Amino acid sequence: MDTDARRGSIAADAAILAPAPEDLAVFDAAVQTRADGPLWRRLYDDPRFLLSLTVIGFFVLWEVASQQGWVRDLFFSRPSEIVLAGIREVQKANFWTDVRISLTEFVFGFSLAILIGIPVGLMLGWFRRLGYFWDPWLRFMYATPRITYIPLLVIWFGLGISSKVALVFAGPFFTIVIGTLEGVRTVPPKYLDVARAFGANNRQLFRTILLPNTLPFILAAMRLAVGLGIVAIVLGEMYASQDGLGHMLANAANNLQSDRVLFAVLIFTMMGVGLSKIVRIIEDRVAEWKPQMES
Amino acid sequence: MAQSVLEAIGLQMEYVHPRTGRSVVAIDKLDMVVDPQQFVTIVGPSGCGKSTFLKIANGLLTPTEGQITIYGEDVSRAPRNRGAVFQDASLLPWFTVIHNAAYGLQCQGVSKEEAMERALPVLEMVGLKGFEDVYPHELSGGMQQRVNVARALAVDPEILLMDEPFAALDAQTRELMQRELLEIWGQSNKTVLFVTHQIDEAVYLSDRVLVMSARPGRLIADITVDIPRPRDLRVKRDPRFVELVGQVWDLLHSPDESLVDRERHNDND
Repeated sequence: MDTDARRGSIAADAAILAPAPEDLAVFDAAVQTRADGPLWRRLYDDPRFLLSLTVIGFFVLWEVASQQGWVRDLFFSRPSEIVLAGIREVQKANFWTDVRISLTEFVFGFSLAILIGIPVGLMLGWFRRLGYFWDPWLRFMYATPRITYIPLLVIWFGLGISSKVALVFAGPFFTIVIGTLEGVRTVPPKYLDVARAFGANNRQLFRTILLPNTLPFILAAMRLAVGLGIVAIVLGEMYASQDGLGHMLANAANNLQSDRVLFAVLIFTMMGVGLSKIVRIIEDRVAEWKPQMES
Repeated sequence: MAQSVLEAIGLQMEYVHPRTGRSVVAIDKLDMVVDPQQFVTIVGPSGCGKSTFLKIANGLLTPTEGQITIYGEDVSRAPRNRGAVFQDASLLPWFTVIHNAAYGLQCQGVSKEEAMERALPVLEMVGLKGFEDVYPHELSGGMQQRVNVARALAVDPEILLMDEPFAALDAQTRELMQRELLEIWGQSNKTVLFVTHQIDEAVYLSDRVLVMSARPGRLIADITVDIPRPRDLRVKRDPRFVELVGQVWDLLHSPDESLVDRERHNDND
């Protein structure tokens, strides 16, 4: 066999089929000219600079508006007051107890939702009859605003930590089950055919087809579920608790301390952003095989 | 004559049409023999049951009656001696090229590391050396189908079962792939059963072209392609090639196989 000719033909084939380097260079070229331009031009084109500008601008405007009396301090507080409230808060032992309790509730509830939700979702997705059997119930529970469970959960579990764990569990659980289930149900039949044609057993089918296909669905569901879990903490603690950050928030509101309220809001926001970010990082790592979106 | 590789005996495939509820005969009493190291192609109009035939041969469907055997063993329990090449986009997107090529071996119980090691020379044979660690979506359609072929070859099967593997490729790439498939086939001494709806592809590649009628799928002709090998793509302008293509074309377009008659036939049953 004429291997040189073969190599040649493959190189030709590859040259025809590979994306032209010029196509990929367009984006780089835009970056290049930016790096060469004057400073104002570079900053003007930098998304991070623009973002910081709006954020800093917003806080400055808020501070000024509040000090000038354009908005009422009682309603809006002001950034400097919130920072001071925060500094006072972190020096209290109570605050750290609240943080610990809220985090414990979240970690327990969310972990339970993952540990139970994923296997349940996998099973309901894989065993179709079982899935159809439970589907209406799942949709029903998913559609119910989970907050409405609070009174019941308090009756069952009391005002302690367990009622909030149950509430945190209830939010993410159904989201994770449904996400996992959809992932399993959308496995392209073609891939299952490939595995079966090569004689894969059920365990191999699960590990090489089902799980890789479903993992991105599970993680996307988890990212959505983080928000639900935090909402559950806030509401659970506001309405049925003697401690936790939600309780602190409710307490501050009852005393018209808008700076403390906003400090608590800030903490919950950071929790949400941070946890979503963690899931996003895992997602990116898992989805390494997916076509990446440019820019 | 040595023992045949693949045999279909009285193969019958019926199924109930999900919407109309009527019974449809996809394959009707089909007998077939494929001898060692032959390149055999089944050609037929779409919906003639040729893909169904390959699904049965791959053990993915159970026939209503009859059976397909590979070296005397029923295909439903013999995944080891066949290598399946599928239509487009059948690579697992979450595995790298080398892992995909090794996948068949892995399914057969070979450890991932060893499977990859054994798949490497095969990947090289199909011209993908240096692409081991990229993901399928980063390859062109033609290169993806090379991986598909490598995956089947890596299990060192008695027979390659190829289901319209080049159907989704553009015309130029398809011809390149046809030529390279012949080269790979020449190197590996495998038996090949190839399914296509493209007449010229069938004649170019094969030792034998089996022509299948529209539903119910029956073999209506077994044509020996007597064009000498190795075959260059220029063979496609050879008078003998043109004549054979014409012969198959006539068989597929004979009056009693016309579309109108086929529809009427389906409506009556």
